[in-house]
Amino acid sequence: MKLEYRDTREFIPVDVDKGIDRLTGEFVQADAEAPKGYTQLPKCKFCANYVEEASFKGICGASTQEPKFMAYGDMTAITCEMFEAK
Amino acid sequence: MAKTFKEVMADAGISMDFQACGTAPTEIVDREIVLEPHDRVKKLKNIFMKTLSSANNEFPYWYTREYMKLDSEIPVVRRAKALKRAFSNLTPVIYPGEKLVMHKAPFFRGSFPMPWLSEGFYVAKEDELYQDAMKRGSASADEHSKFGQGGGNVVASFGKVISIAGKFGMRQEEVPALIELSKMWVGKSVDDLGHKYEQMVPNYETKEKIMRNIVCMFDSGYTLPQGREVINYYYPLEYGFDGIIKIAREMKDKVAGRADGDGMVGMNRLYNYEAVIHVVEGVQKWILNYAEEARRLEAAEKDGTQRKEYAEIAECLEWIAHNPPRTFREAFQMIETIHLAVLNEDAISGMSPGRIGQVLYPYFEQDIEAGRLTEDEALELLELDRLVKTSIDCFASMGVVGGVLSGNTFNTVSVGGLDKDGKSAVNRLEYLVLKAAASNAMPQSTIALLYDEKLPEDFLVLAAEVIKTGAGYPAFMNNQIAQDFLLSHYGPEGMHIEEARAWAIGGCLETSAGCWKPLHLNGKEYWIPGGCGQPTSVGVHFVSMPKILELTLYNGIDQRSGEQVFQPHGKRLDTYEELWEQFKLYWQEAVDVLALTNNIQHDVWRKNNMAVFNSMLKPDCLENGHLINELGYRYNATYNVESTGTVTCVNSLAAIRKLVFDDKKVDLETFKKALKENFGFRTAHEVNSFSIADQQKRDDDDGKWDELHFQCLQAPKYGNDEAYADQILLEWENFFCPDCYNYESLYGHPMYPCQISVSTHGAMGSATIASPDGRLAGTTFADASLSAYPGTDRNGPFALMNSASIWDHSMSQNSQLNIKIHPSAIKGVEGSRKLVDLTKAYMRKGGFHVQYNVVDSKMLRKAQDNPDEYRDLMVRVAGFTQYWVEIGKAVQDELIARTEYEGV
Ligand code: SF4
Repeated sequence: MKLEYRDTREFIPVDVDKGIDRLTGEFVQADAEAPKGYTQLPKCKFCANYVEEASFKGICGASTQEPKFMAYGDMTAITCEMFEAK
Repeated sequence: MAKTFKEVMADAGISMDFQACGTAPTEIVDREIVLEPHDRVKKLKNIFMKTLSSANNEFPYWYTREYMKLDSEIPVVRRAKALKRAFSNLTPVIYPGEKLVMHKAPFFRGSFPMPWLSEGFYVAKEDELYQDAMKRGSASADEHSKFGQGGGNVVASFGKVISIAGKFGMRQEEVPALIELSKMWVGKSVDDLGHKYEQMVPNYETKEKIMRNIVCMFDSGYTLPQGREVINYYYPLEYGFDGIIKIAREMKDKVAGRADGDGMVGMNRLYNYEAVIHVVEGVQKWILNYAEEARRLEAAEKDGTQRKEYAEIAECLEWIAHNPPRTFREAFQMIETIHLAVLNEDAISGMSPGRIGQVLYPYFEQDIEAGRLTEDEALELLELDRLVKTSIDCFASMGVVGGVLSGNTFNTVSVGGLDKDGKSAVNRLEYLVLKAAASNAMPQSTIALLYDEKLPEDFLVLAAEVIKTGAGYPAFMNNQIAQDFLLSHYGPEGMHIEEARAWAIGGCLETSAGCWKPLHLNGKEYWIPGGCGQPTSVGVHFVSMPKILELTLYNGIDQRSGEQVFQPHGKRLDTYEELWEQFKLYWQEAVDVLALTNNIQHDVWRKNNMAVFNSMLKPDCLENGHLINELGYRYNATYNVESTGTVTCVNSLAAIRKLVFDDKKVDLETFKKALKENFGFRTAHEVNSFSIADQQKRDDDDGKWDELHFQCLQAPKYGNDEAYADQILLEWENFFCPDCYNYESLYGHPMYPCQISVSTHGAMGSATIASPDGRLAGTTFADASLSAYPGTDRNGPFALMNSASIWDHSMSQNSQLNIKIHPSAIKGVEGSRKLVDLTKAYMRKGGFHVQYNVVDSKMLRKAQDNPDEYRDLMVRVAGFTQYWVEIGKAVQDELIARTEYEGV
């Protein structure tokens, strides 16, 4: 699967536009395509609990409140204990 | 092209070269001292220089999600649980080469909005932001190349990045979530609730008019409800986070169900301790997430040295997440973490680390003695700390970030001062703090030198050398004056002389109360200083004196908008005394209504957004169980009234008094007409320069105001050691300082005077018509409270200092004097000594603060034309240092125009 740099664990986000490739040490554009074999970063959009409902946002099926709380696909989920890879 | 102001003056035989005490060399002169940081720091600094100020939603997302779930919880516990969740879910990012790790958010210069304080901007901009986000399908190279001006500021949207308030970049993928999160706070935020209740203040209409016409600059209740204070690192250093939780648990057992004679808030202590436990646990999780990330990197790293460094980072974090630090490095990482945690808890500008050279000294001393640390390693960590501090951004509205702060967050470090016993507190580590400020010259941390006659001479000379790098720091603050102020103001709250010595600068220039605490390390006891007062970013901020004068002259009507701000006074103003009396009445009316509405905003804040982590750090909350919102701090009389445009107003009053009432050269009505017509000049906005020198005559001007204008410019001016204008300053200070005590804060204490203008002299000048001193419409006011107006101080720095010290500076929390000196005027060791002598002279006269901008004005002009070439040029603005390219044009223009001393 093709991944953008910003969706990989090898990407170190410097700012909203760019970051550093941890393997090469080079500056790279955040939305440039990452080399093959880079690891997918846990994000809501890659989580089985995420349901996209509109552009860039949806709901988190794992939320315990009713109605289910909003989520957005681009959020990094390294720290979300409820993340389940799709 | 029409003649510029400078040319008009030259035609009239008045030199307006804005130089004094000599003539500058024709070639640009660079700073004499330029030092380099350690290699590691250099590499990270290169990253910083390319970094854009960036924001995302992680913290507000998790905070809001948790908060909304807990609507039946006790407010303080609800808030604490929301904070715990947000801290626990921040993504850890570690950059290669870092030793001191952790950031506010997962970007090098990361930050985030806090819609629970104010959500109106995002909701109002919903359509614009949303459309912008949706249309950004592909990044074009052209858009990427838009940058160059503005340094790290995202001044416009580009590619898939949306500019928020001309400062922060946010990914398009985050914008719809930001809008939805913001909508969840409509009607619930401090801004919305505060607004609902402040409208109930009689005379509220006047407040609205005051804000609309920029008589006052901002509402601190929902923009920056905390800050401009000194943090206290003592409890985590002494007890560790597990120790604090243990204390809170034991205290819960003691207070549960007991009012202990306090029928109003005695019972709250149980909930407060519960809240402290939750927030500390959140911060512990945040630290451990970073430790886990360091372990992950360690496992993946191929380079042996880097792998070892990741392991050291992990070990350090794993230890300090639970325990008191054992080494200099652990202690440094701990205070860094605490600092960022406080800044994540609330929207804060001016959270000063305080006297960290003294706080960290026990670890430094013992590590050096045991051979665990070298001075060079300590220096490297101090340089790294400057990177961390400069990377701190504060997500607030455009008006506040640009117009007030110039993008600065004022994490001032103080050095010098006295110890608990009244001896010089300078230690070896503080020499390194100064050295690091020169070798890694970055805007943060700004350094404040608490000057006392007892400080060692070589320390003062080193400070002068640092100033000569052009960084604008350290600024000198008078220890004795500060102690006198603190004792007189906080005496009623129990402050005594020993405690007064623990003070430090909060924010850029606020004298802040401190206290001593006994830190124990390997059986040895050290008394370390730390803050113990409420925020001082609170109160009536900032009231424009020239605007009050304009309203006085024009019967309460703002001449830019035509709006009747105050009720017409209906007086003829036949005498100077009548005018002065009316000026004071309007001033009081403004301060009174602003104090009332501000109290309501802050009351709403303290009912829902209480500072739990910051409260817990400061004496005496852990002991008494009360947070900041219940007078838990040792000193609570911290609300202040801040003035702007003092010298512009003083010079204006002097001109009116001289020309209208003493010499009767012009009648008041004619004078007012001339001001309204801007003496025949175009406005600063039309000219697109906010410097007096660049202003241009209107093409249709017939010169009818020229003579009067020249008379205004030649009228007595403050800063020349001449009584006429200086006496007016004295009268103002003798009215203003005691008058502040007439207004009461929501904590039931009298307010006090604060005389800093930050960058508001630019924004407020921009909204004010020509003033009687000859300043033209829209141009900046004189900066600070005691700096001379550009080009008007002609008798040298000693004369300026005599004028500045005409009043008793210990009546006020601060005063501010900035002086621009050409690098060649203080060359060599001799030059450094001259700078020290000049400073000592001012301090002996009773001056509170002075700071020097050592720069060639020609370089500033060149930098304005070629910002790309000057990305790292720093200048002293008001009470702080900032990158030239990151400050607004109005303030840049004013900095260029300031009088440059060619000799001292
Ligand atoms: S469980 Fe976590 S990662 Fe998955 S959608 Fe919900 S918030 Fe996102």
